[in-house]
Amino acid sequence: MHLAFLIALVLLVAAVGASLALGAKPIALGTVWDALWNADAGNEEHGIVRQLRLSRTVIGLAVGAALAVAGALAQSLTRNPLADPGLLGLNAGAALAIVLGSVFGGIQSAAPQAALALIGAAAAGALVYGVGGGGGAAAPVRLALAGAAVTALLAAVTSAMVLADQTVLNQLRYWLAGSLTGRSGLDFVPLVVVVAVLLALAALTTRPLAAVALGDDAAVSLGVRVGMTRAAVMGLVVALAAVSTALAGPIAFVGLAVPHLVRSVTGASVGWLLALSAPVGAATVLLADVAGRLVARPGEISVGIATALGGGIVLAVLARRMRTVAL
Amino acid sequence: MSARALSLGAHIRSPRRPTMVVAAAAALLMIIAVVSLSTGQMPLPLSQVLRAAVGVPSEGADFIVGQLRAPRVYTAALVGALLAMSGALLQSVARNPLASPDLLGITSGAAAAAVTGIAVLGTSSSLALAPFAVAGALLTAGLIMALGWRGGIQPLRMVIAGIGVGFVATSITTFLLTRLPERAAGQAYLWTVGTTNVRVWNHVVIGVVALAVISLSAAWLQRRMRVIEMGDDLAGALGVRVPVVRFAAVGIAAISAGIATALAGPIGFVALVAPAIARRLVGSGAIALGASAVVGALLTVVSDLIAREMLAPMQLPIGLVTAAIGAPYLLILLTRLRGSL
Amino acid sequence: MSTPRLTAAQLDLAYGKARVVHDLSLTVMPGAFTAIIGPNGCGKSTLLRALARLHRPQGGEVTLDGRSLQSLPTKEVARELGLLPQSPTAPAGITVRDLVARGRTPHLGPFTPWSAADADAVARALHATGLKGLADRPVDALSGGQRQRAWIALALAQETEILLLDEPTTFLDIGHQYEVLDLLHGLADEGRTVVAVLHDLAQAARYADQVVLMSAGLVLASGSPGQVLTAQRVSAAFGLPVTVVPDPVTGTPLIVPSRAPAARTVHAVDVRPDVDHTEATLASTDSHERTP
Repeated sequence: MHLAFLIALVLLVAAVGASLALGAKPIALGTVWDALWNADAGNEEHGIVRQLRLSRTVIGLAVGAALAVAGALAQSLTRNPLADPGLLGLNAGAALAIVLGSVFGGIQSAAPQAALALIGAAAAGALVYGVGGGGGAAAPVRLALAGAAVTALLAAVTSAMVLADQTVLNQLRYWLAGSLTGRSGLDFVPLVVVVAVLLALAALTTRPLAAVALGDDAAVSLGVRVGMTRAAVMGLVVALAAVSTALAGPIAFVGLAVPHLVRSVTGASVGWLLALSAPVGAATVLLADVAGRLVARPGEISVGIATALGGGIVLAVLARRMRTVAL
Repeated sequence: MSARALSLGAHIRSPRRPTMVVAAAAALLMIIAVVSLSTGQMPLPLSQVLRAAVGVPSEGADFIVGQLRAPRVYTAALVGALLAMSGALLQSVARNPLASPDLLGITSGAAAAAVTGIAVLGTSSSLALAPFAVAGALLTAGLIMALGWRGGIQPLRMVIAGIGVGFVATSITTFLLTRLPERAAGQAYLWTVGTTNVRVWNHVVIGVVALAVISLSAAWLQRRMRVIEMGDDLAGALGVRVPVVRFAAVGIAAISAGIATALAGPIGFVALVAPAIARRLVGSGAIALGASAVVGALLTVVSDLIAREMLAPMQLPIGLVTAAIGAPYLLILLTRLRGSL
Repeated sequence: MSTPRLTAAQLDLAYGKARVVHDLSLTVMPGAFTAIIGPNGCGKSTLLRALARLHRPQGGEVTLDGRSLQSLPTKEVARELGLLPQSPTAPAGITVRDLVARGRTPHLGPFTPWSAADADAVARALHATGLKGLADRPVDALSGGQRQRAWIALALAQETEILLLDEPTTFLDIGHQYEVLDLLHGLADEGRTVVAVLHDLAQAARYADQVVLMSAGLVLASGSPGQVLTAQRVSAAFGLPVTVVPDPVTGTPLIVPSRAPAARTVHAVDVRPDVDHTEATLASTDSHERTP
């Protein structure tokens, strides 16, 4: 398992390198290194690395890790292989809240948007979980359907808002498709720090979560406060999804696919699942972003579309392998 | 078990009930259609509206009603009927009230194929795109059936596969739309959420033809599907070729949804809600295609009216209104099905 | 005999408005195997859940070492009471070792690292339940009996003195049922306090030191199997006239209905299998399962 972790880290470093070096204008790794540590203000390539690619790499790292861990937490907690912040409507709720803030309040900067995102994601999550939660043989499907319904509704309202207001449309169009470049300047940095803090908190929930995953009765008899653990984990999932959406728009399926991938290596151990999901998730988002840049040169396919494509496939495959009850 | 008992019971108790429901709903539909045709920024006398609605030239009303509103309202009604029948067929095949072409990704697949058609043909005429949409719908239906198949149709598995395929299709559509020339960007609405704006008589004609053909095949199917609803074994013993009927039902459902999507985009939730309402009105748990069609038409015409007038002069996409009506319904349905799903 | 640690006093348990257990008092015999039996709906599972701190009493209290269970810190109780829940479901794909390891949770704080002591506890639990060879197999690939043993191993890894088991033998094949009961008996022999809800009266009679017979939320009788399982008491509790005979193997009470099936014309049936596989089956089962 430690070996797997090492491999994941290596993969991550490679992804970071690719993200900084590749794109419309490929830049040698040596130059990338220089650009990071010995920047020359006049050098055009250094400028590209520092101005354009560094921020999107950092955002990609944060978003990938956040979404993957959020998905891992949600799947472990709800014992539902289909739990994913996108499928649970969290991203749609966060996105709508941000759009509303932009249309009615002109809110553009990262921190207030993140706060709005939190409220939106929490509200959507509460609705989805309220309707689709609970147990039973068909619980995964019910949750997914509740999520699909809420997402459809929220997405429809969001597109109506966006298409009605030209200025909002121009600012948010790319962000809404999920993109690592929607943020200018450095106002995203506090959000990245928040992600780091949330990930650390997630690590703390590992053991209680492992107990809760055994069922309420078993968890109580193991001395775990089930209610508190549930609330804490759900809060983390919502927060991670909200901050991620505030950073890069609604990106789906990273939270679904990455934990499944990781679990095929780690088994049911919650600790390793979380530990590996973060770097693998970050690498996935970065690689999807790089692929989007390369495949559609000189334009690009936004990350959101790439992950929706890949993730939809993963979901379809999961449907094949799921053990569901026949009606 | 109770659904089957109900359907048998309904047959015995009031065989005329479905007809009554259809007649009542059709009457209501016509009234609302007239209301819709008369409503708008420019008030028009009823007699003019009625004349223009059936194509009799009359000054004043002719353009607004004849060219703008009528095609739109009629298209909405036709699309609603097509979607509702599609949903009714799928729900019967899957034996599950949650099966519908939008949740199963079929309308998204149709939309993606249609947008591909725009990219390939360079035109956005519905007539030209209809084959693409239908092909997309059939392909998607086939895909989710294959994915959801495990020794038989497994509805829950199909739904999951459908959600996944739907996402893939939507991402393809979104991507293609960003690639198309500017003028087509206005199509974004149409192909992602569904709208009845700017419909023309061509749409109506296509819709009528499609509805007629599909209704005929559906009528053939309905009787057999009622038997299948009582159980595969029983149906086989009564001489019904179960797999054939099932495949035909899914195929026709896909075609129906495909054409509806070609006419007005992937409008969601109608196919889910209308058949359920129809079943409740008819009082039996069995499939009720005629009632579903009329209820579906009713639903879309009302949604179209709301979409047009609620925030006039801004036009909402009809998909938004149907989502606003349908999503809560789905959520309530899920809550109620908690125990038995 | 050590002093009783777990007691229930004037316990009232209800689900919403429906009262399930009335004014029930019980002392759990320490270092012994206690079986709680009774007809469906008599409240035996509810009683066990209350003893396990899973059900908050509406009246009365459950005490551990004289202190009310509700007042004790959760972790502390978890170090004293272990539970086998009814129909437990394991996370998909989890290995036996991973499952049992989670039993160490009450001994680990958020920052406490996994230590040799924890690994030892897990190893001991696996050994006691005969699962050492299966430790790396996924739990869902095990047989019913093996799975129950895995969950019991989890409770053992918790290193609690008291073990509470909710219907540990339900849904198991008869062979696996006795496998589990033998294990529980062994644990009680070691000095642990074992409380199990059982539905098979003969099993309770064979294995339990203390039998608690419940009916309609009340304790009808509590004592040794011989004392509790009388024809009169069982008939009253289960609503069926019964005769009690000594078990031919153990001598403990064996309950059989008093009334034979109604007489009917018996058609002579000639049982003559073409090939008798019995010997071959017995030979193969001998070489299988019994090795830990």
